[in-house]
Amino acid sequence: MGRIRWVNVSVAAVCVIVVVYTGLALVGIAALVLNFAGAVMYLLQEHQLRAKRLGTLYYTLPALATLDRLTYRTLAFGFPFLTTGLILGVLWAGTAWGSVFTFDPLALSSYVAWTVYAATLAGRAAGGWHGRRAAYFAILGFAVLALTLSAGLFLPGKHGG
Amino acid sequence: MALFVSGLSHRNAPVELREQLAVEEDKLRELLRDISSTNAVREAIILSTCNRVEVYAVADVPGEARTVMFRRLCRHRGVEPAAVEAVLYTFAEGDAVRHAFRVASSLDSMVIGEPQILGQVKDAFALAQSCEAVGPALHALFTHAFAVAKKVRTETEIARHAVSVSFAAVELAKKIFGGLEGKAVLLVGAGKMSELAARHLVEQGVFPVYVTNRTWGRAQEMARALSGTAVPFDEMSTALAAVDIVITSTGAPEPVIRRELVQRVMHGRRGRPLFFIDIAVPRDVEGTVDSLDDVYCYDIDDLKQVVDANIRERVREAHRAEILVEREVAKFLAKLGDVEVIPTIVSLRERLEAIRSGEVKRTLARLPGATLETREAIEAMSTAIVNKILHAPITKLRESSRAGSPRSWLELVHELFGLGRR
Repeated sequence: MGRIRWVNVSVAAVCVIVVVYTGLALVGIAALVLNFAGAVMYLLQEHQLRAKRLGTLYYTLPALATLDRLTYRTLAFGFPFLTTGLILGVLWAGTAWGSVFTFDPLALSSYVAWTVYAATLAGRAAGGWHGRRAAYFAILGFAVLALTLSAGLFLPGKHGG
Repeated sequence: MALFVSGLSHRNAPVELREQLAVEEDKLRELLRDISSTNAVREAIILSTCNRVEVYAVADVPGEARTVMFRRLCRHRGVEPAAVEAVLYTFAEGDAVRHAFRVASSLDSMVIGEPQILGQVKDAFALAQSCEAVGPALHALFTHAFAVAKKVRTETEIARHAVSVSFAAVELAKKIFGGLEGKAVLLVGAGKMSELAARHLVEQGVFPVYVTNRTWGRAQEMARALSGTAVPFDEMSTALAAVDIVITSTGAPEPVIRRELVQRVMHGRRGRPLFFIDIAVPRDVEGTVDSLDDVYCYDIDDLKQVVDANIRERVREAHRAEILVEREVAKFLAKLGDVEVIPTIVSLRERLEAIRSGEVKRTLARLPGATLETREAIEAMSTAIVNKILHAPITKLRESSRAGSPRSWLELVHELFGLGRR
């Protein structure tokens, strides 16, 4: 009897973790998609203003300062979600596979994405990063994140299985 | 009865002729009264600006009205009528409506999208109204034209982008900083153009304003004019560290703002962008400065390029505005057509209603024992018969007016239903 109840509780806990993990990850990803979009728009607008050849983009895109603020805020908002999601993912891995640290390529690349975002956020908050550099990092972070997500969907492995 | 517009504008008449023919307000009143008294014209509005002199009018014989009006106008201004008649253009009916809408919307202006013309059209309308020269047709036309102009302004970006160098600079600053509230500006050198640009910036909330100049007295003078602070010329680098926008316009033969200086200043700014507006010739800001991070530098040629781009953008938007105007012209003509047939429709309804209510009254008088229900049923039935009979002729009248040929139908309906002479 005791044994069976333990299993039930464990399954319920895993279910909760999966639901919360997915929800948090989705909110985080949405913020980071905006972060990516802001960075791309920043670079496009910056290029227009520097090249002094003003096209349709100059007229339609918002101001540089606005776009820079957008990328900072979406990062600051999305990062905690990404972090929590990742921690829950690790805990889930612990219950599901019995090991917290795994060399699953998907897990690895999500750590890389997290590191890129962590570095950008630290650079922005403490190192005075802004503008072009921050935008490049936002794009890099999103590239790794997108790679992770698409690998999760299409590659075989512990996650895919 | 026909609506037409006749006149000359910057498109076809030289400025010498336009300025000869331009009429000031007092004379305009006199002229409007004079024209109204001739009986050749039913309604008239005269639009006289430095770019156009036009008469919008309703007359039974447009050709004659036009000749009479411009003869009088020429006599008033002492101009040879032949010279004017050679360049006059005339649009009638739908084309006149289109022209009125395009003029009010600033699509026919020298600088497309310039905002003054709408005010001038409104003034011309008000003046003609005060002279009692405006009747129902021109009233409908002009109020619709004002609505179209407003629509064009809000639904297209025809007037959005600056077509002057100083406004273009302000727009660029907004694209860099977002809002300009609380951004600081430094004027290096004191010229008329930099003062104008500074004033535009101040209107957008830029504060504080610093002014520096090799001549201390001149700096103080300009600072006073702009409610700013004068800064000694050799303390320019301190000021550069504090401001966001720099307008330079000195007469110096060599650049006064060097790359090393800006590089040094940028170090202390922690990434705050710095925007140079260099309207001096020769340039005041060294050419290599704008390759520095967070530094944007526009010289006078760059600003002119921006203005050119803005003008192209306006022309692009003007195409969208033309489509909008076209739609409004169709709408207005449909409405105008209805206006012509509505009196007939109303009297037709009144006529049939008089017959119906008379007959119902007589019938009910012969049925004293009828219940309320019966009375109501008789009312309802007779009304339904009248409406069903009216449906076809009213539809036909509306259709014919939209097709532009309501006259014969109107007469036919008047004859058939005995509505009397129109």
